[in-house]
Amino acid sequence: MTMLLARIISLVRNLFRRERVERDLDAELRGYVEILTDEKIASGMDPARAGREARLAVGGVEQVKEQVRAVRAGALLEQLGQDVRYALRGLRRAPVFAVTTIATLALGIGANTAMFSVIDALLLRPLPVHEPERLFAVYRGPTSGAFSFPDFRALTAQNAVLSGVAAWGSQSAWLRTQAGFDRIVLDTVSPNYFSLLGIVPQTGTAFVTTDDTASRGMVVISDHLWRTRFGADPAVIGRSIVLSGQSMTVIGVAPRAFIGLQPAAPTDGWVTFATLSMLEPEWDFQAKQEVWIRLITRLRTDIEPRAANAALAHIVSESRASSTGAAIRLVPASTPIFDPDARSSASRLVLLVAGVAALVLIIACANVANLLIVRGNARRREIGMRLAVGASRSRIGPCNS
Amino acid sequence: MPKTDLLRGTLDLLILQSLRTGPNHGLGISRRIAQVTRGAFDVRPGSLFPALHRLEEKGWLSSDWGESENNRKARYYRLTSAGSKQLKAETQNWDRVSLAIARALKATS
Repeated sequence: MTMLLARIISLVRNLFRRERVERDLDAELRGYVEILTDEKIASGMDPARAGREARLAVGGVEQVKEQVRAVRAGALLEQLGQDVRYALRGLRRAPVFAVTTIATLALGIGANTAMFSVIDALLLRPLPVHEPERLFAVYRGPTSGAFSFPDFRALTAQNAVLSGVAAWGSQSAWLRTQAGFDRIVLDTVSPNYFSLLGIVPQTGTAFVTTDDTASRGMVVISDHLWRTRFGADPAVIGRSIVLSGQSMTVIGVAPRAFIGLQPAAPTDGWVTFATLSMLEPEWDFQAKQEVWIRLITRLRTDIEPRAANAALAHIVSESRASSTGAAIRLVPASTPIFDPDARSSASRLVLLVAGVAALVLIIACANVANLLIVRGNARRREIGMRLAVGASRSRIGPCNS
Repeated sequence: MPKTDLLRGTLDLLILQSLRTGPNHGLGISRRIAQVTRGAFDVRPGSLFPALHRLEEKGWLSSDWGESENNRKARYYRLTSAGSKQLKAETQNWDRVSLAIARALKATS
């Protein structure tokens, strides 16, 4: 305790009475030399020679002083302050160098920050759903995530390893507005989609899970659409909107964070299969040859993903629902980066640009390093001088290679 | 007598020990250490002064300005009560270590 107190007192004294402390140190070392000189003179040495030998015995007054400074409390703080002031002086002395370096680094870092933000939003950020780590996308073979309606039925029928399967598929639709029509991304989903993901609308309700026909003509809209087209009006619930020529009723607004399962292509609204037959009366979307559905599933909490893969391979090969023989497998859907489809197309371009940005940063660093080497060379005399007056190598080091 | 390298930590012990008999200034301390170790340790200012300041900051030494025998201004260091305690603890520790080393060396030969 007393030691800590002594340390704090020293720190305060060193920081706020620095001049006094420096004067004391000066006087102390001078006293040392004087006493030594006196002794040498007393033993019969010539005064001038005695003085010189005494100073030699100290071995560099400035070096000793610097070593004492280094052990004092707050030395690091003080050195940091000195280094910062020194750096600022250096920058002011060479403004062109400073501007070039700062601009080069700013360009490199800025490009990378921007690209990382994009990648984070598209690929890295976990989906805003309940227990995303138990959520899996269903794939057939290495890259195919598309299934037919009978496939979906077959997977739903078995519940040994899955606690539920939801289906979704993206279409575009035309939303009638006062000004005309807006093209929006409309996801057609199975009625259990929102409950399986654990997403509760911020306003209104989601689809009735037990009976798809009950959801016919019902639409859940995204927070973005709600804000941009309906002025975030809570009275939008129950309102009629016209989608691709069909009148629909808005029953809910999705939470702001949820923009569908493919952040690269944000969803504006959701309808169920019952509504799809209204929108696309000509299309037999339930046919076996129509492979357009993507499946998302939640694993039962007591099942390991590996065990689930084995069980699923068995199920699908039995049902013969799949048109190709490739094995069914589960891909983690917690973050889009795991999803082979999310990684493709738009995301691939993003990754490419990010790679370029990284390259720009590397080049920027190499440029700055080059500039520093040239400058370090030009400052050799100055550094030699600093070493001679007592700067330690570690103090020189950080500012110079 | 050949010069011996100071073991890490022993300089502090030697400084504290040399101040047990009374306050002294830097040169006096270095002289006293050389004297009691019969010249085995020659403490140069480059290691002496940092050590003195470090010990003072730890609260084991205190210092005051005074006059040397031939009327030169000099900084006199004195052992504080915390310093005395530290000296006692370090002395005991040193005894234990040196005894153990001595035993180990005897056992192997």
